[in-house]
Amino acid sequence: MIRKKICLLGSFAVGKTSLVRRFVHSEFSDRYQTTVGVKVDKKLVRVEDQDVSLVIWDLHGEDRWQTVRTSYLRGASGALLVADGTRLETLEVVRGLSQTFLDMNPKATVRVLVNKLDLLESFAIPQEEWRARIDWAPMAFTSAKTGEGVEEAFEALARGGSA
Amino acid sequence: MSDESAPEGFAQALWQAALGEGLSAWAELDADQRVVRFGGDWGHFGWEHPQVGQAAMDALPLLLGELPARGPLQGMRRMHAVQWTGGAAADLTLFPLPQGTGLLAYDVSAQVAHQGRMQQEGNQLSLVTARLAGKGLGSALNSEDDLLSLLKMAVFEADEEGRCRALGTLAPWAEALVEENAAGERTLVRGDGLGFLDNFLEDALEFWRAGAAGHLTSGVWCEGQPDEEERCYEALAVLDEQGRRNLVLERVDARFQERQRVLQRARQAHLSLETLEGEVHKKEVLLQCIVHDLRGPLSNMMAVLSLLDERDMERPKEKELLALARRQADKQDRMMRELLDIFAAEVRALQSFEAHAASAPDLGAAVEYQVQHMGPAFEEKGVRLSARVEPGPWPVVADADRLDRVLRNLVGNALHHAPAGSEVELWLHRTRRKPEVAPGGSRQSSSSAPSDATAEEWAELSVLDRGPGVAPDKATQIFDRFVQSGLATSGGTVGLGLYFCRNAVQTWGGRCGYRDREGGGADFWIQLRPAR
Ligand SMILES: Nc1nc2c(ncn2[C@@H]2O[C@H](COP(=O)(O)OP(=O)(O)O)[C@@H](O)[C@H]2O)c(=O)[nH]1
Ligand SMILES: [Mg+2]
Repeated sequence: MIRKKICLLGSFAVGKTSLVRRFVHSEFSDRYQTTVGVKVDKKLVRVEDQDVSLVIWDLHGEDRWQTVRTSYLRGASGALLVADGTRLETLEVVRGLSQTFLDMNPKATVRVLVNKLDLLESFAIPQEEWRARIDWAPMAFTSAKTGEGVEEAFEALARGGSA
Repeated sequence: MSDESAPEGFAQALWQAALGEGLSAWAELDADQRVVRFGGDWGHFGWEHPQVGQAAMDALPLLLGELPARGPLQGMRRMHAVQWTGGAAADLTLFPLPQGTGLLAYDVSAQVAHQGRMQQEGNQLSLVTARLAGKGLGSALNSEDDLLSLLKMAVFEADEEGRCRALGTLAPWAEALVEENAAGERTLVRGDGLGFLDNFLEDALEFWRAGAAGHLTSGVWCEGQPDEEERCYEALAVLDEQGRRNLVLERVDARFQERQRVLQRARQAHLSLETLEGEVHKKEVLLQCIVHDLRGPLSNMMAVLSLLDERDMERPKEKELLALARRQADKQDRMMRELLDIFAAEVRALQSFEAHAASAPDLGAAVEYQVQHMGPAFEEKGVRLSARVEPGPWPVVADADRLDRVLRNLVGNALHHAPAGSEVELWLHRTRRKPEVAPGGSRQSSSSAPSDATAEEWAELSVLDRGPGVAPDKATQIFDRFVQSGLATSGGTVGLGLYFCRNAVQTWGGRCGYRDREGGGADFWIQLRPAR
């Protein structure tokens, strides 16, 4: 079976843990924000008639992302770089992390997610503007709360990248 | 404590590792278990300072039974949270050294005190939770083992490939991490190569190969399903004097005491929130009634007022009074709108729901309950209400109270739109969802049964009426109408119910939606995850 390691990277409280939880366990809650350390989850997905086992690394402490050990990124075939639609500053963090990640895994795929789409009314900048600013990588809007775009995001990584 | 007197080799590595946590006393014993060297602050633990040449057992009677009378120690021994009269609680570790035995003690009184507090808070909390969930109290009491298992370590020796053999006795939590091979050796279970420990072992092998002094730590990682208590670990790679590769695995839950305490507080806050939510709910129902009752007569009044024609009025006084009455009616209407605005803000504040998978309500039972409960209202309007429930049980991920409210809203909505003499039907059945491959996670029903074995079976409840249905341009907004227009009315009722339904259902990881019913009418559906 094909196995792929996927890392979730991004600033603090952008919704990385919530996205994993939504994808792996189909649920959303405000209760889960206190997780500490690195959390590894697994999920089997089917892509083009093939089973792909995704090993998902939810990396914490990434608010001071210099402290994310680059060794954690080793062997990953993809990363979801998560920004918070309501906080523009989270985009800068994502850009930096993208570089770090690709230095470590030149052949891997990255995908930027602008999360919290359900809070569209409070977005820092309009959707088109997000799109325009993230022209350096494939991007999508998601909501861990409603589930919108979440499956597609993980599936896109399951499909792409070298194992 | 000077550097010359520090222990060497593996002991030194451990000593360094422990320094960060407040190492307080150590000793090195010879093969006869006599003190060769010692250091640190023994008095801190309420112990007499030992003398060189003294038998360790005399210096520290609590070693009795832990230390063999003579000869090398087999593997590592740890005594957890030992406390001597008047001293601080210590974690005491005995480990084999080339010529004897090493002894390390460090202060864990803060952890112990905190764990005790946490345990107490935890117990209180689970009592409250259990009572709320209507469960027995016995099952809510935690065993004291939890407290001890939080402070333990497991030690392994690795070969060149990173296969890790367990040394000494393992704590119960560590037993789950090893498997026994044909030679009877217990080795650390390796994963698929992409997991955390596998990743760290690669670094560790590198570190051992380099022959560097000191130690390499993995950083903390956590395991556990959403409904379980999280298990947090940290691994430590050290190389001893003989070049043996040691891997120390530690449960570090205790180190996160501060964050754990925050978690406890958050949970308590959540309980209060739930109580509050109940109050708000009552108020909401009350307001809904008041608004409904007040608006009816008011709109009649406004209609009557608009029919009165001032041209028919003879005396100027009458015209004036009519204008006044109209102004007053308008004002009252405006006040009610404002009231609804405040009300809407409160409803928005209610968005933080929780899914209690453990107390899984039965959707089938909830449906039957609605049929009974709403029966009279239907009878009054001359509408039949029936339920078609496929064989259960139907445990779903939801909150029992809110699930009832969701159903009440959907059924009430159907009643409102159903013409007299028609029938409203509740249809509960299973539907297969393929969360992994379904493109778009769309709100459309996926009741077409895929052959795919990975598809999940969800519960789907359809509420079917023969009313006018929903216009296509409104269909996508129907569940958030209240938010968008602030005051949307449909035949006089406030479009709050569906908004509430959507919020609740989504919080449980479910879906809801609308589709036209075949043959005319509306089909409002919700899909909920089965609780396991
Ligand atoms: N409204 C909304 N809130 C979200 C969403 N995703 C996460 N959150 C909330 O944002 C906060 C941080 O989420 P978390 O997953 O812990 O972020 P992390 O630090 O990146 O792992 C939590 O309170 C979540 O409930 C989303 O899509 N919509
Ligand atoms: Mg997180």
